[in-house]
Amino acid sequence: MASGPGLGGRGTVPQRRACSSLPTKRGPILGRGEPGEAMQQLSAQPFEIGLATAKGPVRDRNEDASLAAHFFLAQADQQPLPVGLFIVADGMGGHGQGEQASSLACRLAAEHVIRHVYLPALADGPAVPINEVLEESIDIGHRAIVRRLAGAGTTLTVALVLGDDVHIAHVGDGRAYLGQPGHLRLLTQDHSVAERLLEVGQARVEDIASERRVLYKALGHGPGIRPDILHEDLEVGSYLLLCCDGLWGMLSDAEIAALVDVAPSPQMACRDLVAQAIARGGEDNVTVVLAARGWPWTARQDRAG
Amino acid sequence: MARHPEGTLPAGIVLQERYEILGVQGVGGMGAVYRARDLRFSSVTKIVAVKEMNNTAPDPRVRRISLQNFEREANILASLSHPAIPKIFDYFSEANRSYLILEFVEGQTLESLIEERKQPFNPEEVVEWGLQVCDVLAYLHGHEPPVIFRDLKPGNLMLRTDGRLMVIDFGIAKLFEHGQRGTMIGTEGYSPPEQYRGVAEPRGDLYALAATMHHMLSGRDPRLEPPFTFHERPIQLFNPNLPEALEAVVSKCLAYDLQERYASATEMGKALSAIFPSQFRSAGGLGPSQFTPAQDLKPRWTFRCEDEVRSSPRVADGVVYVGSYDTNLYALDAQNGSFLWKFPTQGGIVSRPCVDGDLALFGSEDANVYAVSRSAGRQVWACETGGRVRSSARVEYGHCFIGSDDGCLYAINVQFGRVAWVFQSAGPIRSTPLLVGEVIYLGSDDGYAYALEMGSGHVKWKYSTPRRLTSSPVADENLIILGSADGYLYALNAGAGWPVWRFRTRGPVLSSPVVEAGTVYVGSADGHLYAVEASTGRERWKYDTGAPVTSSPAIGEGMIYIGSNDEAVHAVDAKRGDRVWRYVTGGPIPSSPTVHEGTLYIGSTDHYVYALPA
Repeated sequence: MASGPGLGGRGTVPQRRACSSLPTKRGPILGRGEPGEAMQQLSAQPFEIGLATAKGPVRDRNEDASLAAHFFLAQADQQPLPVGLFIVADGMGGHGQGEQASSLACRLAAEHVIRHVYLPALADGPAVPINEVLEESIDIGHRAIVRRLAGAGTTLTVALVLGDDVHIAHVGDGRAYLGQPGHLRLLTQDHSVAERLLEVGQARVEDIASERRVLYKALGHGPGIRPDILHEDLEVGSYLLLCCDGLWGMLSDAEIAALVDVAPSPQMACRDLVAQAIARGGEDNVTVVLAARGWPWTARQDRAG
Repeated sequence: MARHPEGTLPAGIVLQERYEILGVQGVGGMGAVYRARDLRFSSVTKIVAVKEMNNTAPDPRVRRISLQNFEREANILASLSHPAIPKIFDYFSEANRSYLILEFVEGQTLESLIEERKQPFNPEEVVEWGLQVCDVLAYLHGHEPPVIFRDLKPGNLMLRTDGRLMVIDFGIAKLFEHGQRGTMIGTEGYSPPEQYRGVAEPRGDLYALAATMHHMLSGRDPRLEPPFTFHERPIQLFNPNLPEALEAVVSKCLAYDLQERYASATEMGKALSAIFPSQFRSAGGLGPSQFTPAQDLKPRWTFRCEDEVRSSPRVADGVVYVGSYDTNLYALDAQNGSFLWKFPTQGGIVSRPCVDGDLALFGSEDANVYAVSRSAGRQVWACETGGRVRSSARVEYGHCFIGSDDGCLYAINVQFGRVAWVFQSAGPIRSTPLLVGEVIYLGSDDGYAYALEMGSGHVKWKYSTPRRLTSSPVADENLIILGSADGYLYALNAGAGWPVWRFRTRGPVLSSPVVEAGTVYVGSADGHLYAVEASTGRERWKYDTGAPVTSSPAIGEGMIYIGSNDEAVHAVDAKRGDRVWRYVTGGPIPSSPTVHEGTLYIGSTDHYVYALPA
């Protein structure tokens, strides 16, 4: 399908006076993909997810909680809109309270986002700004933990995918990465005292092993909570990876990227990542969630096929 | 023993056959603090505080160490005697719990006071309290062996009804928390960096005191910020009346490196007491308000129209184009303000003219959209709408897009002045359309933000707000940002129209936002110019002009310019939100400035157009 004159993709401003008539053909409304390739079939832009979690050999319990959900919204002549919700939480606190805290925070956040973003998305569109829904989704968990599980806490990283956009709310030292083959970029900041000490020159890397897990921000802690809010593009051919420190504490970013790049599917990538973290000693619970848009898995399968 | 569901002791329980629990004062991580009556004093009511340590560690060794620490700490407390430290009367253990019996202090912690006031405290007040704490710290640090408080924070400072401060909670509970495995939640935002290396040092208490003072003076809770970031929030940003000397004392104590802080609490106390010389202390209202509207800024030129200039200037090819309520569009020499030509219409001109080739395009309150030859100052065409035109034109694809009070957005062929299509909304369109790629974004006074297909005017999406949208949208990344008369600034997903964030001001936002380097700037009728992070909608700073703002900001080098109803043009530092200069005209300024090659052009309701050195 050829583009008409002056019909660039979104964001490209056509040359003024390149034509004196208004563009009449409808371009794609969502998606930054090539308008010429608007085949508008799911198979053109698959959205695949993986999730794996393990207790590991050292810990008695798995205090991580996680969630991955997605669907497509295809209507009229628009490209199918991928919609997804991905959550990783890592609880802390004795007597099994850690796992209760992470599970509670994960479920409450999911419920809130589904109620205030997804369900309205099927009607008139959300009325409350997405950032506010995300902030509330974390605050609800925070208050529930303070009320029901005093002394316990949890990290919480919530990622919401809407078309080309990913919105992230983050508290603690779980991480969100954005990756493409050969490239992995850390999006989130660890809310750990150790990182801050390093930043202000009051600690050396070798000093902080034991300080690594002291968080200055976590659900269940403090008078209130203000998550970091991020907004990124999730383009076709890239993937979003959420994990707890049980993964990034055991594997370097380069190792994570390398494993993802060669995995046959997002689910296999998650399994390989967890297995590798455990093979390294698996001192903590390991959880990883991966959401990929298209490449490289499709390309690889095509080649295999 | 019967216990409450939360594990606290119910009223009426008697400990050691002597202390009758009357009620819970507070609950902490390791147990509660109770108000109790000492029954040994039968003829008078002697009230004591009972502090409970819940020793529940599963490991018996940890339990034993915890108990030893508790007893050691109780013994230290028993050796202290200072009016600002509660007396200890007794300690004992009962049923896995340990108890301290302490002097009961009637009052309110600074933490609850901060919550109550919700605004920065007076410098005089905070200095007075700081001096009192320095005095206790000097006593503790000079004790043999020295006592390091380690956990100074507003929650541990009790303001008694007589105005004296008491230091409460000697960090005993903290000792119980060691020995945990795995992830812990640490820091309350007031602790010094070296404490995380296990260094407990007198100068750490000075850091915590300064952190507490910073919180009270700035109103910014350090528990909600990353640790050790006080220097990123200078108090003067939030509390302009703060003496610089106080900022300096607080900042010195907050140095990462303890060698850079004051050597002792006594030294810090000396520095604090020098800030307000005693004869002026507690005089009240001492705050320096030496604000002078230094009007040393000289306009490069001014030009007088016959009526108010609400229109915003446009500069192109050395010429300033601006409309006036006197119904004329003026062309003025940008260098010296000399008159080139004027074009009369039948109504006031309030929008910003648009320039395309030789044409100047603009609307008038006479309901027409005009295209005027810039070289000749003569009409090329006029296109009639059904209402006053207050929207400003945008040109793309050889078409002019402009709104009208008749509720329509018009797409008009620039060459011939023919209407290509019309989009009808349910309220006047005064917002100026934004064109990105092939999509037109605009607001309408019907409360909707619309995204239209450029070719057809068909609605791609719309988003409803409760009040009129007069503000013109701006794009940043994948967001469309515009203000609403409901007081919010909205950011909508450009593709789908879903709201991503909204930022609340306290007055209608009729001003149109501008974006630069990830920051949105916008004015509000609440009198402020706001700087908001574009991706999150979080406030970076606000600047008070003193009167409602409907003017839209303009960006210069590191500066933001805006007009206000206080009759002045304001130049504000883009990073910090500080005033750089302020130029007073003879009337309110709804006109929006334009900055071009070092000169700022703006109109005022005093009938003048001003060219000011930016």
